[in-house]
Amino acid sequence: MFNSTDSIPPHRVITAVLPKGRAAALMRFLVQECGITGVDVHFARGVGKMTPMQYRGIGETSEREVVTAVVPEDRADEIFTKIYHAAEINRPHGGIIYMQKASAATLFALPDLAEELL
Amino acid sequence: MKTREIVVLTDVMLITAVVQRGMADDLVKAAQMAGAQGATVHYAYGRGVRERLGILGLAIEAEKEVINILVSSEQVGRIFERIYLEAKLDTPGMGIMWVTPLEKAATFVPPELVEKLSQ
Amino acid sequence: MAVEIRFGDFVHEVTLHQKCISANRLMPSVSGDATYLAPKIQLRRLDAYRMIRPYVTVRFVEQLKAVVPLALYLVLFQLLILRQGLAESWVISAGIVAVIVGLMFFMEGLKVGLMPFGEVLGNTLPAKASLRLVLLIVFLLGIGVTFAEPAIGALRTAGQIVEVENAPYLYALLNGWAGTLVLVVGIGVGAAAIIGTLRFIYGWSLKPLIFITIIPTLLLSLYLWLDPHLNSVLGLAWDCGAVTTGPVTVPLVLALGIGIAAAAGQGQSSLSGFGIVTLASIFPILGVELLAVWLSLVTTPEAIIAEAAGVSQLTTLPMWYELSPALEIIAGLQAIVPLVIFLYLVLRVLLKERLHNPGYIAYGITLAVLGMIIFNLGLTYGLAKLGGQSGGLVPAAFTNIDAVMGSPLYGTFFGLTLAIGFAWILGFGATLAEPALNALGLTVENLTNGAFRRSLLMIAVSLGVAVGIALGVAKIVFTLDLALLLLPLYLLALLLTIFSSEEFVNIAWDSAGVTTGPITVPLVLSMGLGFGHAVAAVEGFGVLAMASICPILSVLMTGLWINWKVARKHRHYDESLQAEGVVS
Repeated sequence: MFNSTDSIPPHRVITAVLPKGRAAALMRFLVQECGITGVDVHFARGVGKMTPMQYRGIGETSEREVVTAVVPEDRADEIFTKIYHAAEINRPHGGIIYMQKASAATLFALPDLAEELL
Repeated sequence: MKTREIVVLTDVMLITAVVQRGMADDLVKAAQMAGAQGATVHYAYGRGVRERLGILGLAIEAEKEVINILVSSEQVGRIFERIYLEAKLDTPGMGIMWVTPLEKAATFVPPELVEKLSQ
Repeated sequence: MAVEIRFGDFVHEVTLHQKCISANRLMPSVSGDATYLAPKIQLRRLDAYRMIRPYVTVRFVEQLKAVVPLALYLVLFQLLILRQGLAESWVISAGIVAVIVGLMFFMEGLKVGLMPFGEVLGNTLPAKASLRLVLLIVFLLGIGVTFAEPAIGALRTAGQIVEVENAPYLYALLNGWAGTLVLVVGIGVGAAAIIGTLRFIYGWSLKPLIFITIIPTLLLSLYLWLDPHLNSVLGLAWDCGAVTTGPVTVPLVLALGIGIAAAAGQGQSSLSGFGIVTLASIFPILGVELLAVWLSLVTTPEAIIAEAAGVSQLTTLPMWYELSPALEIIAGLQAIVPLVIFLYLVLRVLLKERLHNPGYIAYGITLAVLGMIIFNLGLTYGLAKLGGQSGGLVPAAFTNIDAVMGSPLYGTFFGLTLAIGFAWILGFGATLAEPALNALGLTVENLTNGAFRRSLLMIAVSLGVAVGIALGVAKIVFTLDLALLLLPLYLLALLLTIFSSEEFVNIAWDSAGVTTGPITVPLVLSMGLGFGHAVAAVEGFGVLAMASICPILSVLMTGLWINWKVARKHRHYDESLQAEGVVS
């Protein structure tokens, strides 16, 4: 894979904003089944059509989990689709995913050993 | 596995604003009034200008809120400006915001709407 | 030939007055490997003003909103309903301003100094020290915290009206055995800290822990209740659980717990750093109950009464009565400084860790100490004085009090309703202003990224405390049995715990410990004493215990209500989507 930093191909950043409790499963899916190593999770709160003003403040805990993955350009669309299905984006309250360009990324390719462990 | 159909949104922009903690709700409200659908907010710590202000820096919270708002490319200018004004970003230490173009996005779109729009 | 302009460009020009500057010109040019040190920024006066104004006003207004309604309520109640003039109104007003300023300083200090400090320690402790050392440190911390807690001393105030003949064991615990009592409470808190830490490290659920600790406590309570001599100790035992966790302890323990939970890597939920406060309220109860049982084995009521007869002549006026500014300053220092020094030594000597930005943390801690002192002063000269005045006079509404001409002012039924209503509102207002609750709310808000609002938690807890204090006052007035109130309520809490989600269980049981802090305790105790004197009760304990069970119930119920509401809203949304689909 791409180990040297001077020939980094363009990458894509895919971000998925998910309902609470979904991120860990998606991260496992990305790492184990898609072989993506640059995955990051953080927590957030969501405000949206789903939480209109009149409901807010009365105490909805609209917690969200955000998964960010850096993927090689040539696999971006494929992985985007996979996340779409794996995280069940296409159903109500399923969250949202988006993809953007990254002009550079430092890749860390796992040594071959790791694949045996999976 | 059979490939299922996916609905992809294009012409989406991402507005990201980093402001002092506690301000996000007002900004999201302003953005929603300007047409934004929703926002994702998370907490963060930020430094930079705070250290360079000396004793005055204590008046700026290191604790920040990061707001991510997805908007259509037509709305982006209006919403961007509304947030700028609401956040008083022309004052030192108040924060920073930027816009990122997105290649595509996807979320749940009611099937009726998909049918209506794809005609 | 017509000029063509894109409409988008036109709108852009008309509506957006943007000046575009290339970031390349704005940033300093650094060539090669040269390091760039940013110069200090000089501000225009206007900009400095625009920065400082929101910083100060936001914080000031926040505390203003918490304290002023409470003070106004007390004043109006006294003037309009009890028809009594206000003594020393100027001193009281100055005191209230001091309370507001003190709270503002303290909360900011907490946020900037104490809490980050605790978190640094919590993060490094499990990584750098062996498990045994960690447990030893938290155990010592638990004991130290109890001795520093000013509210423990307040319990002795409430013990003043105890007559040795009526409740010999209670009298013995509060007088001859007072040192042992505090030590037992301290060991209880220390043990709680140990188990709480083990819980973080092994990722245990809080629910079974609550059951394991609460059920023996309740059974022991039942035993004490059935014993005619030990009966009266019950109120003290449950109150001890309520007072152990104050405004300094709670944020520090929470921050420490969150750090440990994060470092131990078992953080399944965003709110997994809680639970120590819960255990720290239950264990001391158990400890005091055991102490009472032991006391009943080694000595008899007759011996205590005989001993008391010899000593009672010598007892001087209690210390708390001698008010002086020095007392408050010492209390403020005592609550924070030894604790911080202990933790700092642990950090530097045992863990060999440096603080990343000592300047900010020192600033925060100084602010917290200053705030605590100003707050204490304001409390004694303002809020507590005011509360003491009106709280002591409230029984005049339904019974005869020497200080109030023409009392009882109202009929028995109306007067009692008024008095209990007063207790309800006082409980609500005082709890809203309580700094420990504020800190808990802040922590919850931080951990959920603001999804769980501080105001929601504070209101839920305050409502619970209000109901609890009203019940507690009713208990004193009607001489109800504390056990009859406590046991069913705790059973209800256990039942709700089964059905609630882990997160709400964590917050709810923790909020029980934080409700009774420096604002509530003096106000409530002076009121409880007033009532106790008025109806000649055996003891005035139990109010705080009621004030700590009711918020558990209210927060658990809020949690269930929220879950129900979210589910309902999702259903509505789906239905409306379907309806729209049919229309279009």
